Amino acid sequence: MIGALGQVTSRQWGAHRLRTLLTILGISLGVAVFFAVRTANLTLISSLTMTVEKLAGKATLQVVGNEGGFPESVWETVRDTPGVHVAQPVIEVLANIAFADESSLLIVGVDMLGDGELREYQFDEEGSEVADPLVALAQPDSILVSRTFAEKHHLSDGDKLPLYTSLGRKEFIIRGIFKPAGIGEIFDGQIAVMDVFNAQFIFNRGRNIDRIDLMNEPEVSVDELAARIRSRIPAGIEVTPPTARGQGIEKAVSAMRIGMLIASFIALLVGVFIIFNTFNIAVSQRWKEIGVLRAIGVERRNIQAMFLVEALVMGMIGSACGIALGYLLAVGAERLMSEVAAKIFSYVATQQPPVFRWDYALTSFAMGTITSLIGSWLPSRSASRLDPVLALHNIETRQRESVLGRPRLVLGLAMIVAGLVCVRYAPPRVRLDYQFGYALLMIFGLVLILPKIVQLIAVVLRPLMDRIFGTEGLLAVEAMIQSPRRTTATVGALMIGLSFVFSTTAYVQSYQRTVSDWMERFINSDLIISTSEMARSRTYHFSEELSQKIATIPGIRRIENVRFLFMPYADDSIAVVSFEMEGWFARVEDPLDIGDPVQARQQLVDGTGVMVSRNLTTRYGLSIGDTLRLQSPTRPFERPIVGIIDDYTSEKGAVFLDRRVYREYWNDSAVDLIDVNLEQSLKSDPAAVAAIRNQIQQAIRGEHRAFIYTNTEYRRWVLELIDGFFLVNYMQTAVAVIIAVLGIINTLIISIAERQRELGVLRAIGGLRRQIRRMVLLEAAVMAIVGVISGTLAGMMNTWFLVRTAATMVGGFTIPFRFPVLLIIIALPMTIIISLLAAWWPARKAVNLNVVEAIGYE
Amino acid sequence: MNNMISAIILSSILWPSLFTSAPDARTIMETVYKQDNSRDTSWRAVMDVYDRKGTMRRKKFHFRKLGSLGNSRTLLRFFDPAEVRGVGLLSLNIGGTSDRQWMYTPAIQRVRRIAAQERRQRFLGTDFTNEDMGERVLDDFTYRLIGEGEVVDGRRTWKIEARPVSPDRSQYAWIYLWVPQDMPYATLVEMYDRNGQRLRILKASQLEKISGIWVARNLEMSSPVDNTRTVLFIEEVRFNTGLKDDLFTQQSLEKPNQY
Repeated sequence: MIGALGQVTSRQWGAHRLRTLLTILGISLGVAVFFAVRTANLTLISSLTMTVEKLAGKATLQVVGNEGGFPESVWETVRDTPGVHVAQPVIEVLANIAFADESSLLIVGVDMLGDGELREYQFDEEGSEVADPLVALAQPDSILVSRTFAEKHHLSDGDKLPLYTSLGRKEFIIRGIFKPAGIGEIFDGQIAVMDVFNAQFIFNRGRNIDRIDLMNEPEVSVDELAARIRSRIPAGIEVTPPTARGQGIEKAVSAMRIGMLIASFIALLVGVFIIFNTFNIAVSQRWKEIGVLRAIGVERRNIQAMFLVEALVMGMIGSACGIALGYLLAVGAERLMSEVAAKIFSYVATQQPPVFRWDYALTSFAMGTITSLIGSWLPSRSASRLDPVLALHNIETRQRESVLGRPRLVLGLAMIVAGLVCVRYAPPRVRLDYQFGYALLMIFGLVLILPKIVQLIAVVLRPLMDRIFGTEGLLAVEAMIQSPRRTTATVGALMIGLSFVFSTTAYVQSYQRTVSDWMERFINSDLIISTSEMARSRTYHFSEELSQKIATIPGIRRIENVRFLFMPYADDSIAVVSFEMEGWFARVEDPLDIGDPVQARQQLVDGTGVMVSRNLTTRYGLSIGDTLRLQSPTRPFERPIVGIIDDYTSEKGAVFLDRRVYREYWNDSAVDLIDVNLEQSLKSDPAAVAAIRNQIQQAIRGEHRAFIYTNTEYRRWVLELIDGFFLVNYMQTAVAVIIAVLGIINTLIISIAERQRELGVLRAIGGLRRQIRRMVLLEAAVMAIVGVISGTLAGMMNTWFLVRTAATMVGGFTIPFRFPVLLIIIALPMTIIISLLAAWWPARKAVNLNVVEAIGYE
Repeated sequence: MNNMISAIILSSILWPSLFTSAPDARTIMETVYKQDNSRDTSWRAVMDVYDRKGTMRRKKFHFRKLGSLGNSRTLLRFFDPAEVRGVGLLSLNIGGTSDRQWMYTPAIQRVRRIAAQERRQRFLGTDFTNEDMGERVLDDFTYRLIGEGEVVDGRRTWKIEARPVSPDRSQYAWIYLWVPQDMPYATLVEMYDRNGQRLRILKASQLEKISGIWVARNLEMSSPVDNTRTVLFIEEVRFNTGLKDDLFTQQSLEKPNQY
């Protein structure tokens, strides 16, 4: 039976090739995005982990501290621990070369006397080693580079390599070139090795190291050795297997991954609407055929099975194509994510082809197929329940679609209200996946009441369209009202796509605006000098000597050195920001949101208290008077919280302390940002500011790689960084919109096919071709308007969820609700234009209908 | 350089000129080891390292040693060329192990402790491996006399096979030593790995007796597999000059002009 029904189905597919193709394409795109996101994320993690593992060499354990590293004395302790076969100190610096392209070079500082036992170095010249190891050790300008890097920059043994270091621009001598194997494969060969003690000196690390890589003696297990080492080293320094560092990286980039995963689910959700629409219309078109099948004895369940199998096959084909497409998309997505990871988190990835995982492919395949089945479930059920007598009588005798029932309306409204209540009142500690449920509640609620919304909007539009466009406008609205299921599905797809566009934009804009206000309040230095063109460099820092040099430039009133790093806190990490509190209080007006301003200022300046960001207090339930405990590299750091500020430095939360105290506890004099405050008389004179900036540039030109921003430029730059972070989301939003547009094209094609008879009659009674064309195009425009309106409604709810729940959940931030009115105003004509373009081919088809054939069409 | 070299160079003081019959291998080696009974030693040397292309890199250094074999302290200080001037290496050898070593690099004014090394790794690019640089003691090996009368550099020798007591602690499976029958000094040493491959050859020449101790002015260590060699020429050697304990400390190491 199913085989026979399969023939019926395949005939339908053949007859509606374009519609079939568009439906499969809809599924493909949804699956492609879903698969690409997961694959790209996995590839990125794998690339980052590969860097970690290649760098770790044969190490079975790593001793790691926070970003600032830990004292090298820990190395002595670790090395002398029984069971340690070899322990080597490591410093990693992502520096920039002082050639024209200023490209990045990963410099790994190792103990060149003994590191060969741990890491694989394959040297050129038939395996010979560094030409003169003693000179390489004795001279701090010695560097070994990979052949890939050397060839790229036309360098050979003995050549000079200029680099920007914390001591300024320094020329290094290449004293060895290693092959692009082992450690030489990392970061696509953009890697160099130098002696760890020279690296400490050159990169202003004091007597600190970043980590210790070690191997256990065979007779001592890794776990046992880890326990032994833990008992000997200061708290706050961790002992982990190298693979655990990869997991740490995964955690750090999780915010980016979550955003992308949500976007890919949205793409699939839009796909559900397309499938629903396709099958809904297919059922409508094949009413009579179903009637015949039922009349000759085909059972209801077989009718439903026929449609479900059809959906299954479509879903399978679409999913398979989607996986292939997704794999290709993953290449681009991974590059993008890898750039973001490098820019925002300073993580170095080693490029590799996308990792293909069968379980991901199967999950994506299943998702696409299930999506297809879900989308076709209701239409197949209604097909199976068809009364054969009515169906055979005439297609137009079919029952009025009952999508506007009261229970459905009540349920929809209840879901929306429940979602809104949860967003408003649910505590932020509720699990992440449950919280996303709030948004889903609202979206599904909206989908349920969408037919009613469409109906209401149509009531408003009907007289308007009649007045402006006459009969064609009226017929366009009528066509929409007559088929609420079809319209709802199209508008639903459009609504989801647009709501995502609106809410993402609204969220980003709200976030940017909030950050902008925050910067206006707190970042008011006249010039800001940064170590990186990105947020910051995790490994490259300025020295205090540089800021002292800058301070001597006439017109500069005060220099403030800022150090920024992340430190472990509870089960996560937080930002530790240190600067000269005295100067900060002098230039920031009324900075505290909570806390006694006078007492807090006194305690912060004399180093007996700390200030924290509000999101830190939200995340960890802290308040004024509580003691904040951190494990500094020298000893435990404990200070009471004396002030709380609204701060957007990090979504993980931030603690602010005086630089003097930081230096004392962290034994670190590195500088990440230099705030330059000018003489009062020069502040408002752009020419004077530009002149001083020029002088700073002259003073450090060729010596340091520094980025000098005016206050306005710096703020703009930070906002651009935020944009960059959300770039991937923007792209996925675009995919959601593309899928929604496919939905419109699909719907219109189906609509034309469904209304062939009606259109034929219109032509027969004197309707002109241009009137038919106009009518089809107007129908598309009306659907676009309804889509934008409902999308705005859904977008508002989604935005509210994002700013209230998601922002608090991910970063503990409070972001005010701001909806992008301008974007919606722009989106309306844009969507109409896109809809009109999408309707061009269906309109042409409608115009070219053969009148006689069309009238005879059933 | 370090202690292995000194052990080989500075051999016995009292070589029994006449053995009534062929002695056993251990007795011969014991005499070789004990021929240097000096309290302290100072020498100035030139070291030429030749790579496989024949390119030579020359370094000059001073070497000081206080104590006896297996329980000594040494200080090595490079003074030429300028790139390595002042680089110092301090070793404390206790019980035949040289696991406490420090290096000073004047360019960054740092003393660093040198980690225990992989035995087969070359020491600072020379043909001496880290194992060769360690101060071996007599009991680290078992000895067997395998030849008698072979003439090396015009001298009749005893050929002795030395095998490490703990094979896992040595890169060498066995070592052949040729000791002239009239001089307690190994003038030729060949070192083999477990596959029977000859890894290194050490040749001692220009031997002379200074203050009653045999000294080879010229030592050449070659690596046939890599086709590289290192030649050490001792320009000046003195014994028992009254070196003080405080010369062999980290504080002293940090003074590049102190040697």
